[in-house]
Amino acid sequence: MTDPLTDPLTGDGDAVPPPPPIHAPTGGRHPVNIGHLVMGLVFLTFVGAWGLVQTDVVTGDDMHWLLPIPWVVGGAVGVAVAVVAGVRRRGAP
Amino acid sequence: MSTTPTAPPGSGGSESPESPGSPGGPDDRGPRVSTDEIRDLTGLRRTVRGAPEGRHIAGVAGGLARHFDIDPIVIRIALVVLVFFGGAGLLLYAAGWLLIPEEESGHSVVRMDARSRNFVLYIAAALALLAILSDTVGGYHFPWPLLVVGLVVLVVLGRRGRLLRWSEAAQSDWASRTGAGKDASGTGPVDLAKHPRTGVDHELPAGEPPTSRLPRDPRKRGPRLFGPTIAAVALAEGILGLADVAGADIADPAYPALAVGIIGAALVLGSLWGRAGGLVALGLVGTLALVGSVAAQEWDVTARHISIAPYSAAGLDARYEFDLGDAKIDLTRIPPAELDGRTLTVDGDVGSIRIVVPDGVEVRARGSVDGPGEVQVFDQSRGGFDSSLTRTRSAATASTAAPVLTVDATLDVGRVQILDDDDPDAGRSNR
Repeated sequence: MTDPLTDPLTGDGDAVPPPPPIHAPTGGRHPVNIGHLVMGLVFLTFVGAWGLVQTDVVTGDDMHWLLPIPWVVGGAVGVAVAVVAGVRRRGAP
Repeated sequence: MSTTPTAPPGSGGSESPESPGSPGGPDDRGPRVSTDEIRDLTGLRRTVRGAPEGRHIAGVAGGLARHFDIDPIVIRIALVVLVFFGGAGLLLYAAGWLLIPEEESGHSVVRMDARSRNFVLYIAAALALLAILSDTVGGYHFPWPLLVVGLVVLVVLGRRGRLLRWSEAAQSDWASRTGAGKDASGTGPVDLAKHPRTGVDHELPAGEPPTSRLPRDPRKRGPRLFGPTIAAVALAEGILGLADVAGADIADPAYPALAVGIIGAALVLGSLWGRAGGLVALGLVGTLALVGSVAAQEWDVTARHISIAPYSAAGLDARYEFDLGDAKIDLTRIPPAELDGRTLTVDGDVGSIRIVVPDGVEVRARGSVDGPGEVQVFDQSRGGFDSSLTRTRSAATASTAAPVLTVDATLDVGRVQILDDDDPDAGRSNR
């Protein structure tokens, strides 16, 4: 087994691997990206609206209502998340 | 590339119109640009005044000519001709103007990194192709308003350029700070990475420049989701296509809807985990396709031309409708008595309606255009927006019990005429 403190190339026993970053974040989790969240919800709601049209749940002039709804849904959720995140930031020590 | 420089934007690198493969000048004996070189748009630059290819408006044609290594006049003629094919030439030029950097300054109107610019230019080319097809094949109406919205989004995305400039400034500033930050031995750590927002310390070894003086946005963490999403969309579309070919009842809008759904889910995921850069633009393109295909499905517009002059009331329907087109209805050949008590309704969206009524009938007529247009009912006419006229014309007989005919003609946009038999315009009716 290789001695972790021995440089595998030079055999220098004093070689020490560089220390890992202190408190470096790992993984892909990150603070919420509101822009991506909003647009993701808008796209998903658009698909849902298309589903309503395709299954004839919504027909005729009522389809006009479906165009603004995705933006309302995405925007409302985005505003709500932004407000909550802001409150948490202010509340953090 | 033989004809397109690959100097990075902002380097101010000059371009040589000569092929590097031919030190003495351009080689005219064979193909001078490979397919890979044509595909790679990162070195595409708009020409400036004084360039060999010239510049008439924004240097887009000159830049394209240099990129493809062909005569600029060919590109210019092609762009002008394509303007008449669904505006494709205009679209291509506008996209080039907005996205392609100028050769000397290296700056473009909408600034984005080379990879994103390539992607958006390919999208613009695809949209131009769609415009050409929709114009020549005669498919559906091209969604220009939505395209304008897309261009506005592009301009907004151009704000990313500020971030790039910020990063470049940080790179150049880094060198000076490295010298100042080294310890006496020159090997000490440089304190460059104290995150201003999170306070996270990063020990960076001297001599290895960070990608930016300021650490990356904490939201840009984890794997990129763009590639996997493209793969998922391709796989899902392929499976849907197989099901379609196998006989499943797949509606046309299902294809863009599937893509938009996957992109939306990836964006929601990327809002908390991984990096979802580029997916918003992709989703907007998919949404345009979805809305367009639904509109084409729901509003199946076909022009209809109605032209009748029946000899009997039996040949006259009570109602005629059309979305786009015209209706010419001549009632003068029908015996007046057969029209007694009849109501004729003609309803259209866009086009023209002309109804000619016989003399021996009392006619209660109403003509209206809800939008812009003109209404003429016998001797009165009205134009503008939301025009309407109601008139009752007596029968040209001495009888007190003349037959009564009711006529109601409505359009959203266009011209409505309800005319006497002796009206000059009535003579042009299709009799």
